[in-house]
Amino acid sequence: MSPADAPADPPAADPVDAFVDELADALHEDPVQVDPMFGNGRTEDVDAALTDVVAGVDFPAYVVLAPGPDGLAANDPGRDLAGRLHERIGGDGVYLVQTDPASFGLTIVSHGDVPDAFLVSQISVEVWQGGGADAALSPGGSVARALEILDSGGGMSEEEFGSYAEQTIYRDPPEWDLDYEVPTQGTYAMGTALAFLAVGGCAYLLLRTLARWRETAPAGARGRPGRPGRPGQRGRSAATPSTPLPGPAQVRETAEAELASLARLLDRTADRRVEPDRRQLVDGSYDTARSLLERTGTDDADLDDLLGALVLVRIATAAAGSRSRSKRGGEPRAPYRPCFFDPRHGEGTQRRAVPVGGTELTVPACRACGRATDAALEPMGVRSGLLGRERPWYELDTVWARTGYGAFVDDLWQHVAADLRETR
Amino acid sequence: MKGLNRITCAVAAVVLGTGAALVVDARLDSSADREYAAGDRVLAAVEGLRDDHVHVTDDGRGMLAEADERAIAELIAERDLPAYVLVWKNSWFAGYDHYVQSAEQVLHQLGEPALLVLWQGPENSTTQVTPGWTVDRWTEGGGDAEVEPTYLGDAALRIPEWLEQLPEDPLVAQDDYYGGLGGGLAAGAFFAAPIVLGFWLLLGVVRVATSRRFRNRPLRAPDR
Repeated sequence: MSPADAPADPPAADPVDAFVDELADALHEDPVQVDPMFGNGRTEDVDAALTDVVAGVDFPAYVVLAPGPDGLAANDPGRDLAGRLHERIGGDGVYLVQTDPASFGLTIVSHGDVPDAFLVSQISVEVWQGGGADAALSPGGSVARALEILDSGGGMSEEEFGSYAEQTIYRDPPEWDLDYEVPTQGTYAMGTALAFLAVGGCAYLLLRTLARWRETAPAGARGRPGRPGRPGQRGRSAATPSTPLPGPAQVRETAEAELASLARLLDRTADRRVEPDRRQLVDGSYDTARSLLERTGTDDADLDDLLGALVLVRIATAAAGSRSRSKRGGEPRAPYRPCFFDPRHGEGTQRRAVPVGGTELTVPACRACGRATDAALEPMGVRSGLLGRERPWYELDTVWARTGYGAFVDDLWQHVAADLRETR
Repeated sequence: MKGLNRITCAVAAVVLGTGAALVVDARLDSSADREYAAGDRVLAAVEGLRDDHVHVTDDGRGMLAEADERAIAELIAERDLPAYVLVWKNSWFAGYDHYVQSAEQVLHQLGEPALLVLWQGPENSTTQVTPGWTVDRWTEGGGDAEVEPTYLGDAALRIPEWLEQLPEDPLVAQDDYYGGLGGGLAAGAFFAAPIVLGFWLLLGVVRVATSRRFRNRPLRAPDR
């Protein structure tokens, strides 16, 4: 059969009409049609969200976000398509159409007894007077916002108006980072080596610093930097000899030995005529020291009591001995007073001021402590409390703190004896 | 802190450093996935490209007919080229910020060194190569290979012409900026050194400010 004999083909259907017919049928089934070109990368989510919005408004609405066919009115293809769809669908309805995927321009057309599409452009101008109402907003977001505006009769706050661009499904994708470079093997090696060495190196330096923090501190600041009168490591104070200071057992041993010597001295001088006050000081100190030693053990917490006994023995010995009067005059020699900062340093032959609260006290000090700077002073620490924390002896609520081991009183033994009676 | 001797500190530092390295490694691993997170249009195109290296969407059919699509696919298969051709219309609303970014997303999703022609018409088309690779411009005939087709014309003609002039192995790996593993490790050490040094200086200042020696050593005994 030659071409000339073939029956003539039926006239081809207008492709635009065919497209519109098909689209109208689809809108009958589903009033929301979203093509992936308008889907913001998540077409199904956008379609579902807009379907919910359309179902929630009080008027029929049809959404078309899809490329249109060639042949629609070039100056306003969206309005042309909306009109053609209304011809096929009929009835009342708002048509929200966008066919160009590379320009901004949602067309809204109202047919019949539905809110006027003008409400959307009106409020957009009112809220966003400078323009840019659709900035960072995908077409799906523009449709959702327009439907809510129409449903509310044209009322929408500025905050609500802008909220659509903050919703993930409606918000434009993040800005393209032109500087981003895919990591290479060298990038991985550089990054991991940098992280390992920088973090590991800094961590090592920090940990070593923390580990040696106390060890590297100045002697007087090992408890609390810059303040005199904090306990530290025994025997390592810059103000005291480098040999370790005696512990409780050694102090007891010394006190007992000196107590025995005192007893022998008292035996030898029993016949000597002594002033009653001096005799009372010698005997009272002697007896109080004995009581203390009987009631005290050799624990760390006993250190202050043991030293108190030793100080009392030395007070008694000084008072009873031949050196009881100064060689230069007849005045009685001042009572023995130990170094205020640590009685183990020996007699406080010097005087120095120390800050106490808002004032200063002048206290006896050994030669080293008398010369030391405030920061270098290291007062004796005594363990106390449930946790056995070491604190300066004068911070405790003891008779020693109240009397300063004789620094503040001449009759130490009486205070100690009274305290012993109270606690007996 | 007294139990922290050198070995304990070193072990702890190695553990912390290893943890930091693992975090950086994971961040680098996920950075490309974050940067090239693709939407449904790109993912659908990638699925279409995996079959025969050519994918034309419905909206792009007007730019390349089915017969021409098959011809291009056959040409790519015949030469076993790592080339892909994607034909669709440009869109501002498909989940990417720029059409070149969509081409990068496609290449990332393909997961192999490849050359992608994204044909969107004469104004917005591009040819992209997997990061770290470039087109070998040297041909056996001694001439320069074109790294991308000219987009002014018929895709059915321009794309095959361009594919035919590509060399046998059109992709060559680019030099690593850091020079690979060894160079990267050296660069990492180079960059870490001033950080550690700066931290050491900072600790020294803190030690001095707290009446200690600048170095992490006990104070010298005073002359007595």
